[in-house]
Amino acid sequence: MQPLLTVGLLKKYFPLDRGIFSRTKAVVRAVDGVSFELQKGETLGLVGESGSGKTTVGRCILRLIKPTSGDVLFDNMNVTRLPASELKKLRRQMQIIFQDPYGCLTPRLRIRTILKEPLEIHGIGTKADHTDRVVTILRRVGLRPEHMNRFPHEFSGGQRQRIAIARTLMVNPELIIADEPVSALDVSIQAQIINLLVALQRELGLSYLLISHDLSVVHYMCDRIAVMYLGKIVEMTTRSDLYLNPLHPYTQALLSAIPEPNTGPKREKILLGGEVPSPINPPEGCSFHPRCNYKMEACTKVEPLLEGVGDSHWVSCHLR
Amino acid sequence: MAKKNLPDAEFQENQPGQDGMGGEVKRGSLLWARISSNKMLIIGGIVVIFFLFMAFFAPLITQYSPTKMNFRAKFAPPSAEHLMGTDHFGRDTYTRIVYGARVSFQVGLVAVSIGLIGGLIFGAVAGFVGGIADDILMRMMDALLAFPPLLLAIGLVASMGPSLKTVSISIGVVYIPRFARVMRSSVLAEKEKEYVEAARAIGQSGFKVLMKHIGPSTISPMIVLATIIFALAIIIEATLSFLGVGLPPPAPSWGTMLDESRRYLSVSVWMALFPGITISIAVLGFNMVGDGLRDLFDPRSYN
Amino acid sequence: MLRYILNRLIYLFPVLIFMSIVVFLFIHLIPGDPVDYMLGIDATPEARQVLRAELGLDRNIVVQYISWARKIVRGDLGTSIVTNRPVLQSILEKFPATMLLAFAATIISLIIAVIAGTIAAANKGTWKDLGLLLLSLLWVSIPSFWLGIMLILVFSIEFPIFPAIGHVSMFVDFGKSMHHLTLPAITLGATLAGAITRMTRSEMIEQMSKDYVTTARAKGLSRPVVIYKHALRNSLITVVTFTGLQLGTLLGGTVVVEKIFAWPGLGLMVIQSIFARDYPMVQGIVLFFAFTFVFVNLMVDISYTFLNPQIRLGQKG
Repeated sequence: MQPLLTVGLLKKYFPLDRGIFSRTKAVVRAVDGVSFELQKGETLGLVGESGSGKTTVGRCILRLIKPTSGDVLFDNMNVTRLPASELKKLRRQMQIIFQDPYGCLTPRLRIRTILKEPLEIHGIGTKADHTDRVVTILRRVGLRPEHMNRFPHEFSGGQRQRIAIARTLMVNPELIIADEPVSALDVSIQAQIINLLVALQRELGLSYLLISHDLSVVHYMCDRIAVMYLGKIVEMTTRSDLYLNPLHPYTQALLSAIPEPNTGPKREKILLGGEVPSPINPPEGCSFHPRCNYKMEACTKVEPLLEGVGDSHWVSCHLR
Repeated sequence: MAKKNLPDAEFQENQPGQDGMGGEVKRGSLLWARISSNKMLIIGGIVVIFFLFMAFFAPLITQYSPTKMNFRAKFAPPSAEHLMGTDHFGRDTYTRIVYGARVSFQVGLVAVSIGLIGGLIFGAVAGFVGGIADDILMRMMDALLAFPPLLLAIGLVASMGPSLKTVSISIGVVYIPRFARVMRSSVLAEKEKEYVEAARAIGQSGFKVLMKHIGPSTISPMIVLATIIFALAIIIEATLSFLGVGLPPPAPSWGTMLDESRRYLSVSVWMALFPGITISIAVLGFNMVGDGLRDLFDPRSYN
Repeated sequence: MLRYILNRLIYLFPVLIFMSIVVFLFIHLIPGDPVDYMLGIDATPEARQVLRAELGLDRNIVVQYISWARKIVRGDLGTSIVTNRPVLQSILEKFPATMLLAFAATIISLIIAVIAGTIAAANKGTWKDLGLLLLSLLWVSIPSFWLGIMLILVFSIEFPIFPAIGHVSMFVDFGKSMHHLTLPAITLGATLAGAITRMTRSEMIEQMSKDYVTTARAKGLSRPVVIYKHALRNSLITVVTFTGLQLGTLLGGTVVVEKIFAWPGLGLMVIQSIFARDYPMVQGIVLFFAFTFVFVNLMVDISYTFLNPQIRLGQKG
């Protein structure tokens, strides 16, 4: 079946400018050749530390940022080559939820204005229809209809995130990119929001690209998971496979660091030496080799490619 | 491993606006509380409204004409007939002061309107569009800012010929850059925020993002500046008239009155006293409103 | 550092051009024929021709501007219609008087205002503070020309202590010169003093809430020492910078003060030129004031950068 979203060799380099008098033009390689597919109805997780490029990938797919090179194919549209006039169509089918619920809602607008806006932009329905739809969606995300007359600052973080989710649902999108949707919330509220997202997916047939650094959230929500390091995908597979059989040393270290309750056998934590190198000057060969406990001669010279190992398990490592 | 549904958390989050005991604090009363405790705003507001009243109802609260001369009543000190005395032409000072309020208000209103609208447009474009447009516009603004405001106003008015219209327009033009700067910095600050990106993400056009989303957050500093500029406009109009390059006589401008009083200081102190006090109080009132508003909109910025 | 100065100069260049355009346009704002306006109705046609040619008014406006701008760069600000002498020469003759006035006003207001602001900050919230704050607010609201008139009334007419008009050169009789300088300088500095007081107060308050002050107090330093030696010094940089930037308004104020006290400086000359319709002179003086202001701003900027180690040591500026 044709995937809903295909990303091919996506790259985004940010130039570092130093004013008129600079000579060397260094670049930050935020995204350095990322490829994956997302099927309709599935949830793909994009995992990594801050600086791994996962947020930039999300922005590029939506074309909030213009990619440096590569292709993004969504529902028969080549997003990267889309002229600006066609972008509006895209914005109806692809939506995004941001990380900060306190910053993503326009402070001086009432909720009903914020929620009606997508409908007005895309010319869906009449004015009367708008109000009905706002009520419907508010209920669906667990809020009350009278909330639509209030301002964002009157709500708590969890509620604001619900409103943000409501905003994405207004135009019936197919794909929602959730960029760290619960990282800024209290742990107890996180569970509520995650459950909401899962329930909505079931009801509406949504597809999610979940970007997160929190492996326990990813574990709960995702069907497949891609691990990113320094702008590249180092491992990608199904959820069960990743947690039972992680192949890349980075993935193994990440998994070992998940906090766990005191009961049961203690897992041994893998410690990585060094720090994440700067994306301006990534190491030669495999970009992970300076921190890898298993590095070999080849790792310092040749960059490993993402290759299939077994049933839909991909990894880029010389150790296979 | 099948997805398990965790039970929803049991406790209710405490929402802002609730006092934790199940009651809800009224939203409106919070605003009123802040206004009524803001003494600057209240006192300044009273002064401003008082002068507005004076300007509006001038004919109703005076009995003399502001321009008719009466040489028999020259240099009269304050009395029951002439509340503030008369000037060197026998004109009733109180009447001239009341009509002077009209002049000052007209000038202030037009000047602030021109400054605000001009500044809004330039500042919003410069801040939102950025790039070359920003560079050019800001340098033009800086060019205007480099002139001492009074001198620029003098130059403009003197060239165009002094009248109520030219004075108002000149002062407005002089203050456009200050409004532009404030607008530009507000737009720049808001532009980077996530809600702007969110508005773009749902497909909103650039211009609408500026108007609908960024706009409302830029208003309050502009309003504060407007009151301060109003005060400055009053002073500059008075100064221009004082210097003789403002409103031509016999227009009842407070500044002209002060200029005329200079020659007769040894004869009549009153001629110099009342217009000066009036200007000071009016300007003080507007400044206090400006300070009070600044405090109201952002309590953190005021010590 | 040098790069910073260079950047600033490059930025300033278009600003200076725009400024000159504004002043250039003064003549063209005159409704009707500028030459008629300047020379009056009964001027001879020949005189009109001469003036028209000299001002270049018979040519296209862009060409006019370019030739005018060229002359400016060479230092030729035109010729006064009234005196027939070069404008620049007259300006340079009168400039010292205005500078003396401005300088005296700045010094007086700085001293008074910094002291007042410091006292206010040190007694924050008390009556002293509120009183000084209200006073400074009042000071900013009182028009300088009224203050001048009142000062003359009290100190020249009622109690003849200070002379009301006239100017004596410093080099002729220093004492008398200062005597004549007093009232005008106070008048000019008053509004500035109000603004500086508020600035000093808010700067001091901010400094005093910083950690290093708490540390100093914890170390046992007495309150006055901490205030005067530490907090004040750090506030001064900002305050002095602010004062430098106020020079523009101050220069504008000289126009008023010089008229009241008949102080023979550039301000007075501007007014006289306007009444005499001596446009080249008006343009020359306004341009001169503006360029001076820009120059002073640049100096203040550079010295601030120099004094503030954060910028000097090469932060991303």
